Amino acid sequence: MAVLFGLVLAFIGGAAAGRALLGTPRDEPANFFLVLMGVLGVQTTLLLIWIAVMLFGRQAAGSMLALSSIGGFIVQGGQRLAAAIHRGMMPRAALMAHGRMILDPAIARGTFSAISHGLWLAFNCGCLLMIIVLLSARQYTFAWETTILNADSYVPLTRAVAALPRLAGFAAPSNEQIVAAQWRGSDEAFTQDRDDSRAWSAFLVGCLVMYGFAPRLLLMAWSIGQRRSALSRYRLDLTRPEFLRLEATLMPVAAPLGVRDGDDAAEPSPFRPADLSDSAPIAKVGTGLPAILGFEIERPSVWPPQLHGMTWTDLGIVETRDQQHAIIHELQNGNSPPRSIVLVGGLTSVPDRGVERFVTQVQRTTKSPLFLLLTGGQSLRQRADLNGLEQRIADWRALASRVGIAMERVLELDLDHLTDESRSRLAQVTGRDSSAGDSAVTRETRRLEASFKLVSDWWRSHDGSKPPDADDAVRLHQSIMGLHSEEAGSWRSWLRVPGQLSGTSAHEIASTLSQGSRRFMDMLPLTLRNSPKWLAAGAMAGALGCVAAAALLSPVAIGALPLWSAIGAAVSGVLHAHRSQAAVSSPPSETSLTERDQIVRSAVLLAMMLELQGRGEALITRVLQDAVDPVEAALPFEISAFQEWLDEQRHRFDQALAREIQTGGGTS
Amino acid sequence: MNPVPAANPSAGPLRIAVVGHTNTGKTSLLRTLMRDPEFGEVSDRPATTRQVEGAVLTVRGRGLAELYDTPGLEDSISLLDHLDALRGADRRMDGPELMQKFLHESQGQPGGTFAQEAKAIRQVMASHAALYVIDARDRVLGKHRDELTILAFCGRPVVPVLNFIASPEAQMQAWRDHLSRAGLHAVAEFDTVVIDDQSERRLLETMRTLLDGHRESIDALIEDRATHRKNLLRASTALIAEMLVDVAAFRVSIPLESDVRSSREVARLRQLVRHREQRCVRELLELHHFRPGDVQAGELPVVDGQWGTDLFSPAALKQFGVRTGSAAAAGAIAGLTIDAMVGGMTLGAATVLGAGIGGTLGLAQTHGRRLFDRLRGFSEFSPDDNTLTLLIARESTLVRALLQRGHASMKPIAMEAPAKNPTASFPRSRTMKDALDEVRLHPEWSALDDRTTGSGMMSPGRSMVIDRLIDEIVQQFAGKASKAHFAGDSK
Repeated sequence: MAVLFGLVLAFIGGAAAGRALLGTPRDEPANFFLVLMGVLGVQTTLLLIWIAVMLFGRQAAGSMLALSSIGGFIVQGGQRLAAAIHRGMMPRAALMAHGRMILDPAIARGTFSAISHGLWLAFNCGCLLMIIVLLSARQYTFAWETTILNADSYVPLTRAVAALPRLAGFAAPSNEQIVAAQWRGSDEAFTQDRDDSRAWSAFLVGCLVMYGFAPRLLLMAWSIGQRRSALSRYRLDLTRPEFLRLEATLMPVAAPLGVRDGDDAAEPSPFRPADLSDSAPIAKVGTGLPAILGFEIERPSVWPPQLHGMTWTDLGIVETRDQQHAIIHELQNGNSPPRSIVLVGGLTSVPDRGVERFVTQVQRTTKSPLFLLLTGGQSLRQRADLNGLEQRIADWRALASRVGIAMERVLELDLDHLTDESRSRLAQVTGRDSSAGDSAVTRETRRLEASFKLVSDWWRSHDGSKPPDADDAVRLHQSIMGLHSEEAGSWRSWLRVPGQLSGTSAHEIASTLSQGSRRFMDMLPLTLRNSPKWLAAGAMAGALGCVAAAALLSPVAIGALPLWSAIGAAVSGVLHAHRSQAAVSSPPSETSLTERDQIVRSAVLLAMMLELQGRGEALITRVLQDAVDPVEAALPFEISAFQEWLDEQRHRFDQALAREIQTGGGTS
Repeated sequence: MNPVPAANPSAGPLRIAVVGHTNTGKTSLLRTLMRDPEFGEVSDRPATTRQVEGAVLTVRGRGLAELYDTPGLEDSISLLDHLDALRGADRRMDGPELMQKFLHESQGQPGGTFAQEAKAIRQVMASHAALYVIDARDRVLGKHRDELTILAFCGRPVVPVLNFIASPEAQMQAWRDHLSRAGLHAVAEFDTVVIDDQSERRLLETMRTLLDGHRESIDALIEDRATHRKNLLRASTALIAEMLVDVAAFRVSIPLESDVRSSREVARLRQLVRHREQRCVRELLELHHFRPGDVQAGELPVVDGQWGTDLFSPAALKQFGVRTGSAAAAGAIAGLTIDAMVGGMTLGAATVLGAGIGGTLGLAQTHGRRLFDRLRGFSEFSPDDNTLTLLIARESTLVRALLQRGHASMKPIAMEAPAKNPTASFPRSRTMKDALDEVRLHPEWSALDDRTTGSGMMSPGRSMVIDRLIDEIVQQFAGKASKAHFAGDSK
């Protein structure tokens, strides 16, 4: 549409140009070469530019033409018009697709060239028509003139220019006619023979046709031909994202073929011990050592696992088919069956049918009670997320129940990361009471040294230049508690640690903390209760212990809570309650909670309490009574003296504990 | 009932059985090769796959290779015992014959003990080769040896595929030793979670060495996959380039006197840019066949198809190591440049100069209005270079992560923050900057706003600039080949 419009415009433009150039004959003769230049000048220049672009532009020719040729302008204008008119999505999409297509280099060249040539062709037509009409209806005379050029050279020039039109059969002025047509100035009247005029006008038309009309016509035809062939060769660019998306649906890289060998409804039956001979000797319930048997696990750093004073019958770790056969054979024919068999499997292994088969074999072969220990939890945690871990444990437990192992006989213990708690469970499993056996129960790991080291470090770093704040105190207690984190369950319930420090006001927090405070205080011996400082320290230990424990449970932004005031409130509340209940011998004195000494005392009490936890409250009270000297004096400032004081406390603690154990047994 | 297959199936397209111990990632391998996250069922539990399910890999609509997922081998130890018993005293029976006997027998007992194993073996016998998938994190155990023995009985070439090689627990050396002692030296490595195009190609090449008769099919597959990857990369950059042009060209003008901070226009600008980015992310995910929920977490959170960090926050810039020279990095004008002109005095000099040199006739009409606005005392807001760089950075990182992400992964993707690695921060290349500067001169090229008629969308200049941007971004990708190899030609 736009092209048509452009053509019409060009036609009219050409006509107007022709009219303007020829002018009115009555005023003056038509300046021949000026008319020629006027009509042909611009378009010839542009034609030469076009030729240059086509020759040297190569691929970019199309885009250059698209942007800056007349054809390009028309097309762009048309696109804008169309976009303004058509507003739906489909027409828009069609427009964009069309637009993209014409920008293809080969097509662009042909299209825009054709349009440009066509427009100029229309122009020429208009001009020609107008000139012919004018020449028919008016009597024109033609002249030429020059200011700077040599008059004599005009004749050969004109003959040269006339060469091409003469070939096509147009007339051209002869030499005399050329000379005669020179304009000599306005003083002379200019006359021209009719024949001369006719010759000149024929020449004019001939030039227009040959230099304007014909080239454009030919080039237009050629461009259209180019465009046609480019269109026929055009292929969609299938690498565009839209096409790739289509391709995913229409021509996917893979397609499912469906199920070949379907899942039969029947579950494959578990291993039928048909191969097991039924003549296994019935063993009596053994009184021998417990046996441990590893199954397809990585050998832990310590094998068999260490429990104090315990020896296992090491049945080894089974990995291959032959070893499986061998172990079954041994279990069948062994004369002293073990007291229990602990089968150690790995959580990283999938509990598949083969595993189940082996475990079943072991179960059926031996008459000893079978325990299943699942190790490798840490490794599995590194691999899988939480759901995977739970699912795997559940699968193992399901296997155990199918095989006939009782729930409580399935343990998850990582043999590479044994803790006291897990060790005691293991001992329990193998039938050892933790109280029977060795009289000297030396706890495998004592934390008191480590706790006291934390305290002395803290003392060293807080040299009194500025008073310690709530954060420091909490952190100290938190680190001491962190040493005992494996026994977390027991002391949390013992201290009645709340799930979280809820509430935002000091008052609310204080009420949750006061419980822990009171528990601590209740365990203090009378000697300490009579010392205000130690009493306060005890209460503070309880409160700070609660805070630290809660922080370990859910590391919430402790700093955001008004803790210090809460702790202060809790402690003073508890102290007040205590004072009102009991008869206090010494007058109550104000003890500042923020003193370093107080914080250290509280930390020491906490460390000792945690060390003793699990042994019963009466024992704790007794040990504390002997261990702690209720001296009210200020603690030594200098670090080495302070260390001595700590060592003294520890020494007394050890002695008191040892005395207790000797007299009363491990627990009471 | 499936017929017992002939001993040497030679007709038809390439058939591969994917076998291995249960829960080693066979179904995951198929998902990755098929680029389909929905094939079969994947879990951590034993015996997840209980049936033989096939898939065909196609090239231009032609099926070239059929892969068959099989139930895992769960109890090869007792199977081997059983096979020994089956062989009995007949020492002349060779592997395939023994297998035929076993399959024949198991056909008669649908619910038999070794039903799962029988399905897998039947498929191996009906295929040209078997891919034996191994979880490289597992230790080498006796049962694996037994599985290989059983596979060897089937008489088909076996290609071991070590899976989960990217995990720190992978025991590559132990497995390679074990496999070479079993006579299997051509071993493929794969990780169905972190894929790079090289491993898929190497897997196919390893298969080709053992399956010379199907060499053309495998070659065609390799080439097609490489082409696909290249096209995918190019298409991804096309989406990014479109977004860049939409964003860079967009501008709003507000009167100079009005308060920038409370300007609704500015807020609207930001919102439009954010939405455009989200749309680009969604399109990218769709292009790579991912669902929005698949890409999460990591240090560069993309949650449900949206970036977690706001585009216009300084944090976002820091994440990507985009250095902000100007103080305009924060506050109300964060992410925007202002071209303010009062009475014709101050001008964004570069803009005008560029306009003058631009030389296309169309300049007058696009700039006429803008110059007019400026003379009247308006200021123009548009997204600044930092925002554009950040957009490129974010989306390029996403594309790189998507190209490396296997379709079998069940865990959220972990994208590495480029700010960790300073050399990987995005350089602002000259070409890109020039291209974007040119885009800024043409607000009609932006489709961000429905107010614009969109007529500028079809202008040839726009297409040309987009092509330049695409080439530039693709080059950037090729230059920064971290783990993946993006060079189009794998030869």
